[in-house]
Amino acid sequence: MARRTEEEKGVLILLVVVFLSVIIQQAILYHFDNQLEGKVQIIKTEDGRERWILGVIPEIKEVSETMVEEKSEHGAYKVWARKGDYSGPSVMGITCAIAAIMYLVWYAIILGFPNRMDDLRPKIAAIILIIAMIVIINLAFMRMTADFIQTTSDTGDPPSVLKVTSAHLSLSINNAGILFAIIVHRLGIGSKKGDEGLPDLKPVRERPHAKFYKKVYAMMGLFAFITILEIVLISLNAAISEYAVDFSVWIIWAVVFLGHFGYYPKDWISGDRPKGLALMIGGTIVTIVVFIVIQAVTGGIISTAVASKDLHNEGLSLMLSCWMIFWLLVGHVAGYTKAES
Amino acid sequence: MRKKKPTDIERHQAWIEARLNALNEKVSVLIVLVLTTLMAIPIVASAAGSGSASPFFGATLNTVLLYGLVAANFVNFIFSDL
Repeated sequence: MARRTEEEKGVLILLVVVFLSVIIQQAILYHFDNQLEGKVQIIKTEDGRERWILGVIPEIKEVSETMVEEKSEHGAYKVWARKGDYSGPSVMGITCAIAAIMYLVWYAIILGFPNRMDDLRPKIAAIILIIAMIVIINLAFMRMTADFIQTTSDTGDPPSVLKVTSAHLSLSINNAGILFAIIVHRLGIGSKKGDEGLPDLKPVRERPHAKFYKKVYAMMGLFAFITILEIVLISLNAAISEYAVDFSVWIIWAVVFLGHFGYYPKDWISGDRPKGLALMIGGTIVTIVVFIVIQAVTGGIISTAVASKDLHNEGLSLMLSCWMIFWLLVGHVAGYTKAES
Repeated sequence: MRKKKPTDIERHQAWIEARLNALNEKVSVLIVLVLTTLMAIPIVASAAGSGSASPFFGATLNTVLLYGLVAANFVNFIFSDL
């Protein structure tokens, strides 16, 4: 019992550190957005050629929006970023959710914070490797996007490189951070056998074939449920228009949920799992309410796309799916996904 | 009671299993990368064709990474146990 209380205390400290990291990251990116009030970042050109450092880092300058609108009919500028392309203030609830998941994965799984922080050097090396991979993939994709992005527009608003690549820079940074953390951890970089991170893959000969079919049937059942849910959310205008993005997060939630809570409803209520379910649902509702309050207090400057003036409820589907993934992982770290008490 | 000495065949089988198990994790990462690359093709192609973000797929890198996460979590789910 004393050890369980320690785990729960550890989770509280972990949550504080995760939320602090999210606030610091989003504040830095919001500062970049604020600097672009009435201005637009474009890629510098010299003698008709774009200026790139090492071929992937653009030389950027800021010009006024009206200058870009006037020139865009003749395709003079490649727009790098506009206000809102860095932190995504209009969908801050969603960008914060992805950031929170990334920091939770980094701290709890890679670093083992706060209860398993022995032998930190390989773990910090793993984090540095993940950061290097994030920078490389973002720069590579942005360079590629800059090559095919359109520069002319009838409406006077050619798309920006950041918008076409990442929607908002924080999203591509944080999603890359989560994916590379999983890959690096699977490759055994920075971790040793017995580290409680991701579940061990079954040894080849012991892989249970009966359970394989159980998993497939459970996955298909939940897949059908989330398809119907997505259709309902789209019909209620509670999902973003990029349906592939919206649906992908629900698929991730479904797979992570089955992986932690079991394949059938009777597994979901065994052991400590009801606590995990309560944390997942309750935590999500509380988080959405908190973000709506922040939205009201800031007059819509920091928005969630839920009950907002511009985007109405388009962000509700992503807010639900992203925050449910976050609180599910918190429940797992707190030990609330174990089948036995 | 004396422990039975493993035969040559049993030792060889144990060695093969240990090598296969070590490969297991690397192969799972390879599967994730291949699935991500396969998903990236239509996503990037649709954006490159129009010169702007696709209205269905959205931003290129963001959507590629999300489907990479789908693949990674799916591989974790299928090849691990509760």
